[in-house]
Amino acid sequence: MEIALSNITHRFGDLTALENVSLHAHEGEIVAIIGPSGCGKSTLLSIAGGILKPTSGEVVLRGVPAADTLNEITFIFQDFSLLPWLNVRDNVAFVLKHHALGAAEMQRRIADALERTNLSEFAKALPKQLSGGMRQRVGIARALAVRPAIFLMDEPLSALDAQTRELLLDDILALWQRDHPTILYVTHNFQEAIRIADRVCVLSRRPGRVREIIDIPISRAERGAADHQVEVAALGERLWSLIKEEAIVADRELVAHV
Amino acid sequence: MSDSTAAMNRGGAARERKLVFRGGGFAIEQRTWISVLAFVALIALWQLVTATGLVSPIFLPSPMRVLRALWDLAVSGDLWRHMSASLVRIGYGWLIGTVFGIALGLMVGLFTVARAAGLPLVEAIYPIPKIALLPLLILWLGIGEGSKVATIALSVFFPTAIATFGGVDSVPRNLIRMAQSFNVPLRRIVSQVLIPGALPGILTGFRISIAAALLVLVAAEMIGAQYGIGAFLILTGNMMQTDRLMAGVVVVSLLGLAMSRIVSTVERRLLRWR
Repeated sequence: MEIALSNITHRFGDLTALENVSLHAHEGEIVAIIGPSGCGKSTLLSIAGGILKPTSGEVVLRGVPAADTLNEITFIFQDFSLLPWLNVRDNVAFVLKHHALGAAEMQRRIADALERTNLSEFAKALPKQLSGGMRQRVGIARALAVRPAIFLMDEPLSALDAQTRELLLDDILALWQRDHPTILYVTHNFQEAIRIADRVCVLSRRPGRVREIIDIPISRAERGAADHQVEVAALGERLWSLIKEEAIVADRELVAHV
Repeated sequence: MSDSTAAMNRGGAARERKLVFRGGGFAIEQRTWISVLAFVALIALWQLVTATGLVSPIFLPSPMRVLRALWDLAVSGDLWRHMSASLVRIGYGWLIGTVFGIALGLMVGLFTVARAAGLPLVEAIYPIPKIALLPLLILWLGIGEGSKVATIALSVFFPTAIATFGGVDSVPRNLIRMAQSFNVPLRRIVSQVLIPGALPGILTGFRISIAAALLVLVAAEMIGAQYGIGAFLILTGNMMQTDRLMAGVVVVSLLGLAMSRIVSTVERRLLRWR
């Protein structure tokens, strides 16, 4: 399925968080959205997923999801958003129970999702017993269980340490490799964006506008290869130069009004 | 020469000393035997004061006499007669107050209109000592069980409502948005996200509401009841049966202790996820 955001504007009171943002992800494409903190990239994703109503603009979905899709457009959250009182299995079951699935189909979906995220042996564990990386795997398993056509990933690796981030990024790439879902991937980390995306949308801040959309012309498999290092480094330089100045401003800003 | 003098004055590399430890403290450890000792010491002091005849047994009977009175009460069945009357009242009152308190708390926590209308009312009525309403409730409901149960229910209702909506407020909004993003219906969001999330707050409310219920129970029974712990306390006080009176006080304190233990157990069971 494809998703198109057109002319999204969003205001919080006097603050214009997003202004006239248009963005499009084709079927099976990974589009990264990057920008300095406070540029409204998470706001944009909430709007894309229909859990925040934009001041103006619209989100259009095109295409027909697969027959087994229960929730065509599904989030993976930065803070994982697991229900702490449910174990791993029940956290996955939570998003299935309101669908009219047979017991066998439900079991199959849960088992499959846990297996794909290497969580099978942790089915009975509570979130508090898991490391950050494992918690995010539960978040991914929960999303996989509803077989989405479009994933909305809101800084899925930001709460994790550098090593875990590497491991999970590979997991996410493997997930994409299997069914080629459409992914909108929000991050503040341009290296992450270069690793994963077909295209990178750079947002400016206050108001958040599309500053530039950059294609990544190297195939995902080749991005790690030695003969593309110069090209990858140049892309990184370019992305960093696009957000650096605003990142400095964001860093020096007071975070709250007194 | 001046260079080496400066180095000497700064202490130089030659001066070596052990680092002095400066952490420690601020870590309270468990010492069960001290707790037991403090308890035993208090009772021993009590026994000593009464045994020396320093204080007349009419004002302060010895611990042994209080224990004896408690035993007699238990054997004669008086204890159970009074206890059961009290337990029925506090049971009904607490249950009614809790059901309505949680219901209102959820409404106030969930709906703008309920909050705008309900919250100021709750906050205005909450500080009234509920026992002050007993005479009015007696006028409305008669001197019987109804007015006592209603007073207890009222004293339970308000802290429960406040704890519940506080608990609902404390449920992270991102969990609700998560559920919505998976199209989970409202009914399930309330039962599977809001209520479990509010449970720690609700259970803290139970502690407060149980203490309030016990207080109002005893007070209400003192004002007009034939049976009940409160009635028993007034009766023995009037007859200067201090040993029986203090036995009654011990029963009330044990009752409070037992109820708070029950809440602790429920908390441990239900909040294992924390």
